Amino acid sequence: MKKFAIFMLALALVSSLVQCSKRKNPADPVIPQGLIWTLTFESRSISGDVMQDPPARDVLVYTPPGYDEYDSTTTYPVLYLLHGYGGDHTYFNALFSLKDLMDELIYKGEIEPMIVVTPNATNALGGSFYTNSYYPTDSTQSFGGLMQNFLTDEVVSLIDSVFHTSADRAHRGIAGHSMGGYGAVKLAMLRNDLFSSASSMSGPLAFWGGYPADTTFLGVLELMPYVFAENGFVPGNTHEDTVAFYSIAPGPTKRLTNMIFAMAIAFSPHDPNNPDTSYAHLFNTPGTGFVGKVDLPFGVDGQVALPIWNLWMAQDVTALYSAGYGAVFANTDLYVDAGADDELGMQGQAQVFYIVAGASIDQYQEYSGFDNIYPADHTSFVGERLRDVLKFHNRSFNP
Amino acid sequence: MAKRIAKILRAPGRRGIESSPGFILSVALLVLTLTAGHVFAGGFALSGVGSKAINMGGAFRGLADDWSAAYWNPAGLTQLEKSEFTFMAVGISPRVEYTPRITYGGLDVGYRNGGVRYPNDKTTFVPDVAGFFKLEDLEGITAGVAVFVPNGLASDWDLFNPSPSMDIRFDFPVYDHKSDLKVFDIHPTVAKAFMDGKLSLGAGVSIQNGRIVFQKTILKPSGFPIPHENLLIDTKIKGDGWGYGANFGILYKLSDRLQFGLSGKTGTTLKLEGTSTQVLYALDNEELKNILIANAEASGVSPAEIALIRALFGMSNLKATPSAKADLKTPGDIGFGIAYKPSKKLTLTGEVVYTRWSALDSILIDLEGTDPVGQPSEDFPIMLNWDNTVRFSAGAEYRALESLALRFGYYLDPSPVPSSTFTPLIPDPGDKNSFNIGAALNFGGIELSYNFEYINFGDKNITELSDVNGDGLFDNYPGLFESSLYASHVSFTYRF
Repeated sequence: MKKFAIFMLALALVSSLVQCSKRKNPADPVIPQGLIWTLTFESRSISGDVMQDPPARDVLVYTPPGYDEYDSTTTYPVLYLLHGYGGDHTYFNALFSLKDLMDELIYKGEIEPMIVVTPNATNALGGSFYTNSYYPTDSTQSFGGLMQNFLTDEVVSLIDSVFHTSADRAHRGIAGHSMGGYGAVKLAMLRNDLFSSASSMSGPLAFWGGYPADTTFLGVLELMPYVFAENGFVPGNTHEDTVAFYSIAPGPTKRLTNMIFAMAIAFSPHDPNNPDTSYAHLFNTPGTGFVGKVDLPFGVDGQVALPIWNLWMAQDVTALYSAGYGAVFANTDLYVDAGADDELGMQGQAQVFYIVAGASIDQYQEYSGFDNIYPADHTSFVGERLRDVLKFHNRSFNP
Repeated sequence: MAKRIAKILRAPGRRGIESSPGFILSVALLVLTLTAGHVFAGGFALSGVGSKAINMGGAFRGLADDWSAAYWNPAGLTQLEKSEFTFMAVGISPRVEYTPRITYGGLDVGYRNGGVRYPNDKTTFVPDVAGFFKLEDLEGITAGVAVFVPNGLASDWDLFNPSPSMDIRFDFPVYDHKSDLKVFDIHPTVAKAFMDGKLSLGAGVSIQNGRIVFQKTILKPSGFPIPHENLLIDTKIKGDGWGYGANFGILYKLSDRLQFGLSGKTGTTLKLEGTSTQVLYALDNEELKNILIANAEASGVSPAEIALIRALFGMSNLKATPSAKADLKTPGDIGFGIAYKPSKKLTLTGEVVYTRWSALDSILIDLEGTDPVGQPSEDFPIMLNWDNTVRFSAGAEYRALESLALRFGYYLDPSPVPSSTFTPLIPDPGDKNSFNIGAALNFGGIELSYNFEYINFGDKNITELSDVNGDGLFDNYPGLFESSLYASHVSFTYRF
């Protein structure tokens, strides 16, 4: 009985101790923080163009935790991250929390520290398509800025001179979303001496999917009916149709029209010395009073205007790849993705590029959404895809 | 407290307890109101009522020989040889662990995935109080009032962790998931013996008061790109109300050694009323705001929608306090028990009880007012879809001495909560194996007893999110749940 009493007392004591003990949840990790820098410089490539875009350009730079501006012995690879249409240098950090994402991935050891650079390559109509904009008949006169040169000649040099970079091709990558994805793959082809890896997230990589000829997939041309609708234009051959055709112009609520005009500024500005104005459309840039003309790649009948369309196709990534530029990708790591519900048709363009250039692509993925709550449209999953892109380039930098 | 009450009872000039049920009831309510706190739940029912009954594994419908018969089998009250007053307190420590794995389509939306999480551990105390009276002038009738806590649960969790990339302007609550449910049952009961005491019938009325606090994080798709794809809404609902039910029981003594009990209770519906507090956390990202507004203006959306974007990025959270109403059901049950005395010193009991948890299909919180963005509040369903259960219990009492009884008990009780609606707010993950050991000491008209209870729960591993009613809100929490529970039951009984 005495033993039982002792047992019961011990039980009560143990039970009290257990019942009073409080377990603690693990403390939140303290994630080392990188830094965001914004550099501003006067670009030679953008000064003196017809559109008079401001040459003062901002460049956002992420430096990883531990980056020491006084320690030149430690160098870092650099990823050039190109923003999409309508964005600027703040695009990735504002929309997709680039800094927090970088800090997290480095903290978790999923990537090694790297520098990320996002230059402002926009223009008055929302996007330069990272292309040198010349009059087709005069390659000495910049119309909308030499945006390819701006990036490959000026920004790369600037970054290598200001920051402690591993300034060689093997440690330099280029990536982007949408227009930026197009620019990344194109510049990796045209300036393969600079970049050893390239990524496109939902980039327009096949303007005309059926290259060289296919009517089942129209690529960028799929957007034209929406452009017509934004302008109240119905293709036809009456006087009213013609008036409506030449009235197609950018406007505050014409998102697709603005984008098509931005592409035309990059690919097909109307040369004032060209007497054929069949496809020429006037536009002005908000706030500057500038009035210019571009050739759009369709006629009053709504059909493709081949003389203009061919200028566009000369800048098409899939066409360039097939024309021989793709050979350089033999020594370039290449990533391509798209969302399965891309409202701008980029999934189809990615698929066409994959058919043509699949042998060169190291990682290809199409993102599906999550039920109907989070569709994988043009922008919704970029924050997640950016993780994959950063890891992809990290593997390229650290084979 | 017990000493103080006993002193009051003996004070000169005061009326005896047997003639003062109103006093007992008021004391009981006071005690419960002051001390009932955070409680563990199985489903949301406790192990039972009464130290002796729980000590014998809840196998008590066939024995039912103390005040707690009011809960288990009211017919058993006829076995009380004297009037009695009881106070009981239970200290309960649930030890739940949860390893969350909550992603939406593989997307990490902010839950603390990967590591073990613990609730805000608390040892909490549940009191029961009762007084029962042998009515001398009405032979064979026993009547009285018990006040007990048959149902309750509570847990506070820190499960959501807004990442810096979500750009929440203000700190999110640490404990973002909370439940606190208490049901007090004021239980007037009467029992009468027939056939020279061989057959007893009893019945009671449940006058139940329920109080509920419920808090969770709701993710509302924003339409903005990842990582801003969700708006965070901290939702808290608080209410109380009354409900009514009844129980009944039959006890039949086949011999001095063997008796049977059959008893059951109706379910109750507590009509709860209160308020809901919904706080939508403002975003702090000026550049994102400007991009969204520019895109919205380019897309020609209405000024009201643009104003909403500005408000979402404002300098204060958006808050709404719609009124809330809900019906909270508690389940009915029916059970059969047996008590056998192979010797004068030993009593063995067994019981099986069927609980109709399926009555709890959902709790619909009816909200009246506007939500944080100024739209009419939508009703808020808490999906349950619980399963009926059958619990098996066995117990033993051994009278080692005239004044000392040793007690042992065990029960096996499945969890009624399916994986599709399981949440850490009602942390009853799997089959419960309850082990009890205790003792009671009698001296004079007083009995003191102590019981230690350990419950081991089966693990629950939930692999998939479930949206039971298809409303776009998820009704379960994927991850691994492990749990055990320690409880100490102490009781004081005065018989007179």
